[in-house]
Amino acid sequence: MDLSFLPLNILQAIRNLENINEIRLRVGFPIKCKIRDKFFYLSNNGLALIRDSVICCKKEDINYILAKLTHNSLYAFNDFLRQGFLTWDNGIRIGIAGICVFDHGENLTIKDCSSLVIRIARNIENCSDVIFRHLRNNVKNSLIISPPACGKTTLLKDLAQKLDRLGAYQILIIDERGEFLSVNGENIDKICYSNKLFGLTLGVRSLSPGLIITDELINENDWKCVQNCVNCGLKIIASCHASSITEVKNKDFFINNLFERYFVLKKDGQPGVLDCVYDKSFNKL
Amino acid sequence: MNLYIGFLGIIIFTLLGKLFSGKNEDKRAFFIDFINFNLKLKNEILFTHKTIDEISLSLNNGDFKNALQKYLDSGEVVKLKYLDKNEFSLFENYLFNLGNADIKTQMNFLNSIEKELGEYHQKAIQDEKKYRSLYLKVGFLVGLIFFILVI
Repeated sequence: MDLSFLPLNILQAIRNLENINEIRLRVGFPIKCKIRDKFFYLSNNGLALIRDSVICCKKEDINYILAKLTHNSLYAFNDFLRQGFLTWDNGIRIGIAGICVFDHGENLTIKDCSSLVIRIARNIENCSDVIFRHLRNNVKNSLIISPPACGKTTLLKDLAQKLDRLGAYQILIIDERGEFLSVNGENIDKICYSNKLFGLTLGVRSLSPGLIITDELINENDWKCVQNCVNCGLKIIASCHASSITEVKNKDFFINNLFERYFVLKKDGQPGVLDCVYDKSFNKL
Repeated sequence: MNLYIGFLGIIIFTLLGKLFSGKNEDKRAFFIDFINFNLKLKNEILFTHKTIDEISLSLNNGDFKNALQKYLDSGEVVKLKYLDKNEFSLFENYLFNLGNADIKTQMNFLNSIEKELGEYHQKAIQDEKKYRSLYLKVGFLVGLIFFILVI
């Protein structure tokens, strides 16, 4: 995994660590690593449970990482930065917290970054087996539901590869954050770093997809975009943040009868471990 | 024998004079590259969003390109002998502000420094004109004195 954007001391400290899911850096505080759903401090000798000899994050570390991530050109990546994330070349997503600069209600940029959350996505082969079995013979409009960091994107990536091999659909992936960069296939088209409205409009008009895969329906616009696609006769597989089917139904912008299957993932589990499957009437299957 | 040494002295001192005048030539070339980079960056920021790393690769080889790449790679600002305190301070400040802001702020910075850069460039041209022949003449004269003393 290429983490060469990290400062040398941090890079050396993590060089022997495996299965890192997440690295959290906050200015003035110890650096934390998440491995198999548990947080550890990062020390010069690897991981530590207590705060002795831990590596503290300095402002210079954050600046160094941002300079590397943006190839010394923040202006070229400002569209991502103002949305609060940057993506490294191989699909690693870096969430950013800092001071937002607004002008006439529009966020121009984030300055004085104080925290970074480095999410290291992995390709876990066959993690979507269970869901794939539900969709293999007849792909249904499906929503994958779980809280953040439970493996929705990993699962969608694996599912896309499996559906590609199936060959029954021309698949269009709308990849807002460059997290599907490693997903390729003979039946897969990708529109990267675009919002859902633009990506779906462009894709539906010009790429004639049969199936659309997209991550994280966050707001009303996202749900409406999906509704438009379904009304165009397309199949769609998407994901959404929630910990239960009730939470999804309670969302202000939830649209009933849009999805035919709801897959709720287990919390704190491996990606793709199903808790429940519901049909369009919310009956457990 | 002394005659040969005398002639050799004239040649060496004249060359030394040329060497000193070369500093001004280097300074002028540095500021030309600096101004060109600033212009290029302004265009690329607005139209292609190219990164500074990419733009720096397309620069002419020279002290400016080397110093810029050194800074981008390691964060170290190279001290160039021919830059005086103010000139170096301008260059250092420029590097520190390079690429760490959004498009609007970056453009404002690049525009604000343009005039100052032009002034330094003009000064470098004048210095080159003024001192180039002076250093050569002084070098030749010292060589001539050496020649007279030797023979």
